[in-house]
Amino acid sequence: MTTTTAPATVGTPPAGPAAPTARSSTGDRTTRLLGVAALALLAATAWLGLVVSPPDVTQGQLVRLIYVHPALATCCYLAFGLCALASAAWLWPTTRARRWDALAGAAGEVGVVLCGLTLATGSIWGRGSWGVWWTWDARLTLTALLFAVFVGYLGLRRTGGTSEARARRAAVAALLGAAVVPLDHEATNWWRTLHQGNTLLTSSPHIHGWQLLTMALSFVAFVVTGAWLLVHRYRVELLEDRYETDGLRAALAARRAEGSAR
Amino acid sequence: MSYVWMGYAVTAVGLALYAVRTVRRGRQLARSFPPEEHGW
Amino acid sequence: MWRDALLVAGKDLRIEARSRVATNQVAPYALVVLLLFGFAFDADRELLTRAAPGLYWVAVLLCSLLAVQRSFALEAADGARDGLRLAGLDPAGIFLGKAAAVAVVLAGLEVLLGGGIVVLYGTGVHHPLTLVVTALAATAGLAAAGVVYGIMAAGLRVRETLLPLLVLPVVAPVLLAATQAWRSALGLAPGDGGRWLGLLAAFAAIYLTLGVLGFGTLLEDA
Repeated sequence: MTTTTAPATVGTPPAGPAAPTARSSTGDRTTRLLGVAALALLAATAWLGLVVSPPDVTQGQLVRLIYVHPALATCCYLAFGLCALASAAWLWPTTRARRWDALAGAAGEVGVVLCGLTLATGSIWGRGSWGVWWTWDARLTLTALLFAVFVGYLGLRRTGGTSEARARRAAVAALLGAAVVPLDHEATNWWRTLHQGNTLLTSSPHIHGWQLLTMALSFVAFVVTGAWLLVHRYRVELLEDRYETDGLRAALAARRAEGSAR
Repeated sequence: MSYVWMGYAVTAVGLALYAVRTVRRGRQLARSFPPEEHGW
Repeated sequence: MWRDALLVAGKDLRIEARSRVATNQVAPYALVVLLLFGFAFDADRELLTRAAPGLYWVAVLLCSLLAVQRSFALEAADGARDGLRLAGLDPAGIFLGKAAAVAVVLAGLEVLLGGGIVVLYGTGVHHPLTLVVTALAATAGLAAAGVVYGIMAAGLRVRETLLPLLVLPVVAPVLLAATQAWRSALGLAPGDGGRWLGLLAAFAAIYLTLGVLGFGTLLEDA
């Protein structure tokens, strides 16, 4: 995935002579390694999940979605948690640094994407096993609420103002969003509970062999994929910030260089 | 089984689209600055 | 802090009393919302009676957005926000004052809406004390959360559209808990609404604390 995209020309920022160096992207050796690992792990998960592992006694073929949905959900919660932690690090005076805000923004966006996919796959699974696309179950409702909260967070990040002011607002919003998660959890739990419990964490996991192995692999695969996305997105965030502050100056310098070369 | 395919397809397409979008944005932006100024 | 809170709340309420926006615009809006719910449910009395607590709290939520927007629109004109910052008031006091003013406006609207559901949806009042206590806890939570997000969105070009997106998902537990508490208080569901009341109190406490701690930071560059 790192190498297949063609360099886009539309909307290219005004730049100096764009010498295509090895680092004219957000990738480097580490991300390529991560990307290849992510692709290989995802492929292995898909192969094990769709071909090798047997259908379940009760769930039938539908059990194959267990190799996608729980891992996506876990990664989405991890990303939101990281977003809140990075926001806290930004707000804390001694650790305040631009990179924490960038990390929070990147984690928030990756989290929203993963959360959307979690809801989509969950919905498809629900349609297959319960016969409905949506049901008012505690965990579904909580995830949908989280999705809405973090979409709002991304909206807040896209507002104008200085980067300092934006970072401050966004960091407080992320922490406030995270603060009500336990409350949301309690509320929705008291309200409705249908969802099956954690499959792996219960004392006697009722899945075995290939199923367990595939499921464990899927968690690794999605965590690595999420990390790869996060690194790229984090670098994009840093570059965007830099572009906002330095873009005009760079453009002016480029025009001047053109003028004097003539 | 069709729901299983649907779930896998949605995940794959969603992740791929987002990955492509992120990497492309990164390329466009990264070309604006000399590599040593990228800041990571 | 408390003196500053009283000052700010007094100022907001005085403006409210003189401009009559809450009584002349928000209150009629609230009643229109109740009428619209009636149309949406095809004026089915039985259904409306059963759904009344939820509809009531949805209407309150919509009104709270207007109240919060109004509360920060007051500060937008004539550089009033800079005046507020320069006045040397304790930010925590400003937060509590604005939240209290919003809460008072909301409480008034809630009384009106309560009359509305009794008349329009035929709801009977069974446990007035539980209803009032629940409403107070919910109002405190709504006002606190609304003011925190209100200051965050104030001064942004997209504030009118961003504020609902920020506030509504966050106050969803208030809607849930207040509705459930009212359902049991009105005899529509078994049990007493005790634990829902606890949840509402916890929500209000969390947001009041966070607002007191964080409002200064947010006010700096609002």
